[in-house]
Amino acid sequence: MLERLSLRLRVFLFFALIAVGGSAAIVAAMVHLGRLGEAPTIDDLVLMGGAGIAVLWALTTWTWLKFDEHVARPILAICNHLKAVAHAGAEGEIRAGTARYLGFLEPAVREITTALTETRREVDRTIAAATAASEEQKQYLATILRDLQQGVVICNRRHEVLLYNQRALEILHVAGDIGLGRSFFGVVTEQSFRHALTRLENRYRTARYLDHPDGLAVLVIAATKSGNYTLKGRVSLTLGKAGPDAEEAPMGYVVIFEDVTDELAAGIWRDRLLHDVTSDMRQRIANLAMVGDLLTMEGEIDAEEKAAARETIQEDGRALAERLDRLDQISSDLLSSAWPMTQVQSKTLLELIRERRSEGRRLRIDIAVADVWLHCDSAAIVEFVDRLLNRTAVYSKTEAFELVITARDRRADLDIIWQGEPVSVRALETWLDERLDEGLGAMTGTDVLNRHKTEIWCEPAGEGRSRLRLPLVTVEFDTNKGRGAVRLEARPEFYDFDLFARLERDSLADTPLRDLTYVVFDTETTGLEPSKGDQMVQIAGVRIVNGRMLRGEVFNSLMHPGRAIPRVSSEVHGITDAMVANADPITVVLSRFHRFVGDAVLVAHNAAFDMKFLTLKQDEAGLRFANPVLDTVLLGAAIFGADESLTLDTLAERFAIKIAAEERHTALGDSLATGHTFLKLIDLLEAGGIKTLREAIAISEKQAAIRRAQGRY
Amino acid sequence: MASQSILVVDDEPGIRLYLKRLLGNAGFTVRTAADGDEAVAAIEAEPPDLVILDVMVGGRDGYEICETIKKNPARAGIKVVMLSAKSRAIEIEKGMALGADAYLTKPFSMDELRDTVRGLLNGETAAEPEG
Repeated sequence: MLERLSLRLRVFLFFALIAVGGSAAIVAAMVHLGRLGEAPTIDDLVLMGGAGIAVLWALTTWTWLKFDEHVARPILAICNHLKAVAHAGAEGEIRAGTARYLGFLEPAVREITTALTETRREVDRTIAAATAASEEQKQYLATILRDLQQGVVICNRRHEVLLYNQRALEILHVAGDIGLGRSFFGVVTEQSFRHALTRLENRYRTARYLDHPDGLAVLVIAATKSGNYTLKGRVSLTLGKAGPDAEEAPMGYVVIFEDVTDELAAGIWRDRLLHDVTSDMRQRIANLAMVGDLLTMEGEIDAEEKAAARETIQEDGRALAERLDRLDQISSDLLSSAWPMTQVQSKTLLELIRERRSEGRRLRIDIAVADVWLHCDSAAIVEFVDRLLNRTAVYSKTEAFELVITARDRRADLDIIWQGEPVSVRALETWLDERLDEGLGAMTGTDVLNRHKTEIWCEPAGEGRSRLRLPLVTVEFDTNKGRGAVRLEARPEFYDFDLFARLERDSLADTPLRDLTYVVFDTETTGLEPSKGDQMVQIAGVRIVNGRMLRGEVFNSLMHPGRAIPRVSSEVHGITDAMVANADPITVVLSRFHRFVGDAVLVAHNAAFDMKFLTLKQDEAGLRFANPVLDTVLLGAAIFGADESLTLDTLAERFAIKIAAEERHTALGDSLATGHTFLKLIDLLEAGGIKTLREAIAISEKQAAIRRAQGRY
Repeated sequence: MASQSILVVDDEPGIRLYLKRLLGNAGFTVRTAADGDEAVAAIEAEPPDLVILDVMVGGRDGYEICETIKKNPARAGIKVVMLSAKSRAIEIEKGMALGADAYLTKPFSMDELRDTVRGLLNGETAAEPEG
């Protein structure tokens, strides 16, 4: 019945109740005193006064309790809800019945939320439309970067990575050690880069770059931190303006690099071989010259000397021929490595030839092909074979050809077969001297043969047919060029140019929360009591850089707990003994996770629990997790009040964060949910004046103290 | 039995002299030609039993001379030994594909050449050196 009265009338009734109740108590006391029939004693007066006051207190307390329950708490709840809606962009409805006795306040809040949500969606739609074009360009850039054969890394002046492409990960052979906002020098040796940058900055300062042939770029040879791979690249200084009125200055640098480990090793091997071969040849030639002198000397030589001379001539002649073969091999390798050869599938090559038809002749070409990868300059081979087809068609007066590729030991023969006589050696040699398409730089057929270290000839093919045979080299084509580097499935966020503008700060504690780098993580364990031997079975984490959660920079690893996983735990997180049977031990995984974390701030939901497991094994692993830690439970308590439900599910629901059911209670799924929640909490903290890490830690400690006092922590 | 005749075709006078002496000492009748055209004329004038051909000889090259010999049914019985500094497997295969009966790479030993020539003239099958 009360719910139907107006809010003002209900508030009036509360106060009227105190007034009427208080008055009634006083009147009742006075009536009681009047009935005594004689002048009341001091004791009577004190007794009656005390009774009246007690009734008044009881009434006031009851009224306050009701007021707190039905007015103060609902207002607080509405307040939190509005804060979440206003600052964290939450879209959830206020729970029905939250302000049952506050009249139209609840419907009014609902209307405000709906209106705000609508407006926000409208604004979002407008922004989305406005940024679609620039997003498209970004995607385009991302695609180009992804498909580049070179590794690309862009850094700011503090060597923090602003952009990298997939190829960079592959070349550097790292997956978790490089990431946006992390130091490039964590993965490469820094001396050569520092040297290159010093040179470039000097060139910039003295304005020599304006007429320098390389401008603001310089070649650099460096190595990965592991020392296993050698990199060759170019470092270019990036100029830009820190603000609209600022002068142009170096903002950072771009590194484009490739892996030259194999080439360098091959080069060193070749140099040694050349040295050995040539010095040996010098010795052999000296021997032969000496024998020549001996044989032409005046006077007879005896039979023994003659035999020795003959042996030397034969032996050294043979050895020289063998050394020459090796030199020939080296020069051929150099020639073919200088010429752009590619891997092409045999079938593709034949189809390209069939479609070329440069002279528009009506030829019938059948194809029969063994499926192999050919190592050749496919454009040149297509032009060359097309020319041969056209010439043969005229020479043999035929239109029907068969193009066949037969695989042999490390080579494949490309045969042009037709019904008729073989082409004469002279005719073929004439064709080989003809220039091919202008696009090939006036190359002749002979040039194509030389570059491919091959020959061509014509021979009978049986049953009145002839064939032109062109042997080509085959390769075992390695499609997995990543050499163990992790390939990321989704297109991750590989760049963040806002990091260019990130100012340098001495103290982590005074850095705005939004500018910090975080690793939000979660663990799955064998149970809840580390003191009784429970251990981790899985750890996952995701990096947040510059206020963005990077789905491309995640850590997720099972580990062997060194004990059985109780079934009750397996039912929660779905990880069984069989799944961790071949996993690395905890110390190994922790060491990898430690590298992934670097100097980021750690964030977890109920961090104390996860940190306990993390630190449990850190001594054994020889590590120390001394990073600052933030806890989404404590931050949530600071914002919404310690009495509110602060489970990950509740917070996620409050912020309208959707967690797929199958992801909940997986370490990665919970890390991502915590990450989203944490980003929303940062919005609310900033709105409440909590802007730096120091302030966030201070309010967390206060909340921890409250919870400890309540015995909840 | 009349001694078997050999035509040596090479543009290097030193090699011609050396082969003539070597094969002459082995009991063969040896004639020489310095280029392709001279070689073809010599074959037409008096067909030899065997021709030693330098692949890189001037005029018509060794491949073409070989082709000329093998295409003519009346001359196809003439054995052809190709002699070349081209020593890659594919080059040897090309020589053999064009009808050579043997292919020797320079440098070669006296014994090797003598054995190859004797083998071919005594009706043994073609000798192909290791690539």
